[in-house]
Amino acid sequence: MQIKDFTGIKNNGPLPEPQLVQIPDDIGDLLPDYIESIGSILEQLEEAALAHESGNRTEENSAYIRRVLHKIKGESSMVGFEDIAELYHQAEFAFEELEQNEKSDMLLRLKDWTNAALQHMSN
Amino acid sequence: MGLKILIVDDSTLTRKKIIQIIHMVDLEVDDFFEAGNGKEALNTLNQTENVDLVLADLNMPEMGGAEMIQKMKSVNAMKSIPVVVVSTESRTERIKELLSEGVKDYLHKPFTPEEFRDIIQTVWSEPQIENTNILEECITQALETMAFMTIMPMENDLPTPQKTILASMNFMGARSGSVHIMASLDCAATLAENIGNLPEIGDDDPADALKELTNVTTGLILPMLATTTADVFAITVPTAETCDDSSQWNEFAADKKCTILNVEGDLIATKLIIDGKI
Repeated sequence: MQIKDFTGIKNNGPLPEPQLVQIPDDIGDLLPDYIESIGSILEQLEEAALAHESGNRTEENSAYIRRVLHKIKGESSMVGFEDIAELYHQAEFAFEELEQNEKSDMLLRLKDWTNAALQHMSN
Repeated sequence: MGLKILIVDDSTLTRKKIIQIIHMVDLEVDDFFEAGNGKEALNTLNQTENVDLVLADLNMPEMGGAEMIQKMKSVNAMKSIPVVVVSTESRTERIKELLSEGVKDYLHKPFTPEEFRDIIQTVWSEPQIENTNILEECITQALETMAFMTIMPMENDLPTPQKTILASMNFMGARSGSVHIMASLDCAATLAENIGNLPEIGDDDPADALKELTNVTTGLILPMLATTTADVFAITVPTAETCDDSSQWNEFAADKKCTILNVEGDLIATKLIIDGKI
């Protein structure tokens, strides 16, 4: 499977369309579980990103964000969503490289993109 | 009868995926147990008999995999259950450390059914120390190798009884035990001469030579034994004149509480006592 280019997440560049995300052939009855699990983690990501945006730039909040990004990457990779795993791999790098005032925008864009992809999968 | 497998991971999705993968492998599983962290896993193990395998993530809330494994090793009923670490971490120092501490193997997430099958074969193909037959076979093989190394250069120098080596083994736990070697002083002296040129042994004291050879031999063939000890005892073996048929050898063996494993013509006789619970 060709992995798409998600490097645009670092610099607010273009990202592939969420509805083009590849659904693994062997996902079987795990698809609803995946949508539910990632949807739930995204809520945590949004909360932490908004906290960061409104000034909570503590190491504790940053560590929490790193864990959330890593968890989405891990779960996506485990069930075969290689595109999403790659997007979060790039996001982990971006989170480390971006300036403090750029991080929350990247995280919220990430959350919106992923929610759109989950919405497409649900349909 | 099928297996009982405990899957320890804080992600429900990952636990379900692991079960899905196991179903793709030709492995008969009676029960899957799931736990969200190490603490829950220990509770499950406390309440469940005969769990055959634990698949454990490392990074989990409340109690991670490493701590759980450490606690399992301190409980008699749990310490022999094979644990395979399933993690997104690469082979870091931490994982190497866990492997050296008795974790059976390591699976990198994500993994394929084929990778899981390979791991399972590794886990159950290793000799289980609790299996008396396999252990006895390994020990016999070790002693026969030692006997072979001993007799080759000396077969014409000593009468058969003086070539005799007696061995007794005593195992105290899953990975510790002792191997006691008894030999006539003539045998040990000849052995010391024969092996004196080997750099890893290189000692001309008969007792030390026999000890070293035992350690090297059993260490090579019985790597599951963390410790082996070899002691040399001066014994009076029957001479060719006083012990010239097998019944007399049997009496001698009974007297020494040994079992004769291998007596071949004028070659060495290796005798083995399995002493204590294995």
